[in-house]
Amino acid sequence: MSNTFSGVVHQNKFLASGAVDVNAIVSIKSLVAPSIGRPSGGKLVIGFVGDGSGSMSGEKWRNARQALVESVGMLPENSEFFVIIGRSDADVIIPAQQAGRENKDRALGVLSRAKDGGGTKFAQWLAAARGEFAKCKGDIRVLVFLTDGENDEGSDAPLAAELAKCAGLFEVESRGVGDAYRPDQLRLIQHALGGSVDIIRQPADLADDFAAILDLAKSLAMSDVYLQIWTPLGATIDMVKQFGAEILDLTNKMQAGPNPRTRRVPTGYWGEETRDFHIIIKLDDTAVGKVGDTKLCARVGLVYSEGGQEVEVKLNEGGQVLAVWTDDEKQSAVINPRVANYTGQAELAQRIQEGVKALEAGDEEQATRALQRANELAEQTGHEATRKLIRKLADVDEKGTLRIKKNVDKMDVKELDTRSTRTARTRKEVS
Amino acid sequence: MQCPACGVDATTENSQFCEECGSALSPVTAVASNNVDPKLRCGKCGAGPNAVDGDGFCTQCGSRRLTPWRDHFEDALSAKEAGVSDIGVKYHENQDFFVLGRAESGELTAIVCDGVSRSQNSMEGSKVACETALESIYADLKSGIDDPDAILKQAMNRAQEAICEVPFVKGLTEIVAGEPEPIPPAQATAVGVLIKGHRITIGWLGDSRAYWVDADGARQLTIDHSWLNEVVGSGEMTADEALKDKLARGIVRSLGADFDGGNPGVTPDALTLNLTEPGILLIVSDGFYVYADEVRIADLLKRQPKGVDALTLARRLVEYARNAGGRDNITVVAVIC
Repeated sequence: MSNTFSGVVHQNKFLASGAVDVNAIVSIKSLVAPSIGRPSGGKLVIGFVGDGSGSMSGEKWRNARQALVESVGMLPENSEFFVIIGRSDADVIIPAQQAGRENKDRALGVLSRAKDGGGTKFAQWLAAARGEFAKCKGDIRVLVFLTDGENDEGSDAPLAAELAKCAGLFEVESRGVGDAYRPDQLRLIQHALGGSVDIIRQPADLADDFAAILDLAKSLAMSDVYLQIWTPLGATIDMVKQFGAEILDLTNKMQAGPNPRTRRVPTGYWGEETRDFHIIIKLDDTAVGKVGDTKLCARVGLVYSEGGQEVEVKLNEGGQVLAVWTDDEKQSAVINPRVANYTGQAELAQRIQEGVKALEAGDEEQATRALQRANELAEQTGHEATRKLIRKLADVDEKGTLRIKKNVDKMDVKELDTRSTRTARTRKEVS
Repeated sequence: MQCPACGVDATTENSQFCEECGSALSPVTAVASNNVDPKLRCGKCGAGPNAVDGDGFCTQCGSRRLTPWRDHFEDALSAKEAGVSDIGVKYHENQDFFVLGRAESGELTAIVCDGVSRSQNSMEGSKVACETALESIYADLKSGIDDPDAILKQAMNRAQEAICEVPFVKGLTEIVAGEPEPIPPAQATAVGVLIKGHRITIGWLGDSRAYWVDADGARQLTIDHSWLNEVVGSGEMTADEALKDKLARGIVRSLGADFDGGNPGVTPDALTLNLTEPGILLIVSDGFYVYADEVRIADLLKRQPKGVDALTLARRLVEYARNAGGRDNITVVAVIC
């Protein structure tokens, strides 16, 4: 399975005299797909948390229940599953079990009788999911988390505490339905546990969306995949951001590695896909080179476990992240196009979130400023989908001046906010 | 316990080797490594001789401890034929390359290629161009072709085909001062010589040069394929007018694919001379001649001791260019005729 992953480092190694930040994009391609065997013996566990609070009643609840019924029907028989209805307490209506025919039939019966009503308690729901996952054998663990409202646990503190307990145990596909949920709360879950967030504008679309999540989950084949980063004395890893389908900051996820100079970054579950990681290494005074010096600032590799054995994947050119200090500005001023693109995309997400926050707080001036910049960045990074979303909220004239529309649809704001961390993958390049 | 080789506390009580640099930790080795010649330690952090990874970097502080061979390499066929290529002082990689060889039928051949720095993978480009040109010349000589101009032009054509195969990223741009600038696939200049007895043939593309130096002085044999020479040659402008353009000396012919990776073809020039007097043939990249015009070259050679061998001569000329500033890669091949 040594050909499971391959990777390459992109960077401009030339730094201006005295520069201490070293940027690199590590591009990892995986060939792991269930069809060519699950290298880590990964078996799927799918958990569902359906928001059953009072606000879900009516059309939303009917569609959610229908989507759950259809999803359970589609589960592969060798997978495990459970269903939790989230109310003021988490109601585990279908405990973790094998997705065999009999179990599925029984589950469908339970689902058709499930009732809504109660409060929205994310931490409690996640705690219940954690308990169910703990009973399962499979190691690819995906939670589908559906809500239409705001977490009403008083503050985000109980959620944060629960997320710390869940970290590394499963990934979450969060979906907000309607226009009353808070994307930033779903992002909290995403930052801690991985996975994606998205909006479902129409309850009728729930079943299709769940089917897509299930397809994605079935394509995952590998758990326990880590970026492994060696750095020399005087160098620290300042940032690790993953650019897969979404932007995910992994900086705070770093763990100790096999020796003091090496750290590991968990990257979640992998199917057949390509992900880029933006890494920034910071050098202290003792580690900065002089003009003319060449320094190995990091060596990046990948490790995964296979049958209890750890396998290390070497990247092209040994995964070297280099720094060469130069007094030639022509060389040091060049920004690697991938670094530029990902820096732009990260700022884009930030500006959108700022803009939406200002808009919701009624600060139109601040919102205009942030969205104006976001629109420029979306253009520069070729982020067509995001540009369209921005233009639902605002008019942009020929000169690029942005003006927020008079009557903004709340759902459009939620959509822009929720999808702010989506990436526009760079065009395929031969390398 | 602190590792005696690298000084890092990265060992457990029973370990035999330092987890940091891989040095042995037995007491005997420890004493030995305390007595390590300081020259064998990392010049930046003092790590021991074992703290070097496969790419020549210090496993403790990441500094480069071993120089890649390409930074400076030499070749000599005899005391009369040798070449030296050097990274220079300002550059961070050596994009020049040269080959030197003697065919089975006795002809001497040498090729110098200078990879264009603002092209992709030019280090690889200049290398495959040189190696392919040499193979082409050998093959043509072996098949009995006796037209040296044609042999050298054919070598350039084959080098062109080879350089077009060097991998590149289509559409790659670098953002320079806020503006995206496209970067072409590998490009390189080339100058090749084929010497049979008193007959010297030279073929070239771009601005790498051949000089002939004898008792009368130094004389540039090749004519740079530069915009300057082109517009002056066609009578479009005078040299003074053309030189007002900052890019006047920019090359207009070279080896290399177009932006899409296609082969646009090349039109090399070639010339043949018959030697009547003894002298020295120099084949050089611009990293050398930017510091030495014909007068200076003649002067540099006059100052060499009588009977100096070609390798020593090439080394001294490279050293001269390094000391003069070394702002580009420097390659000098010397053939004493």
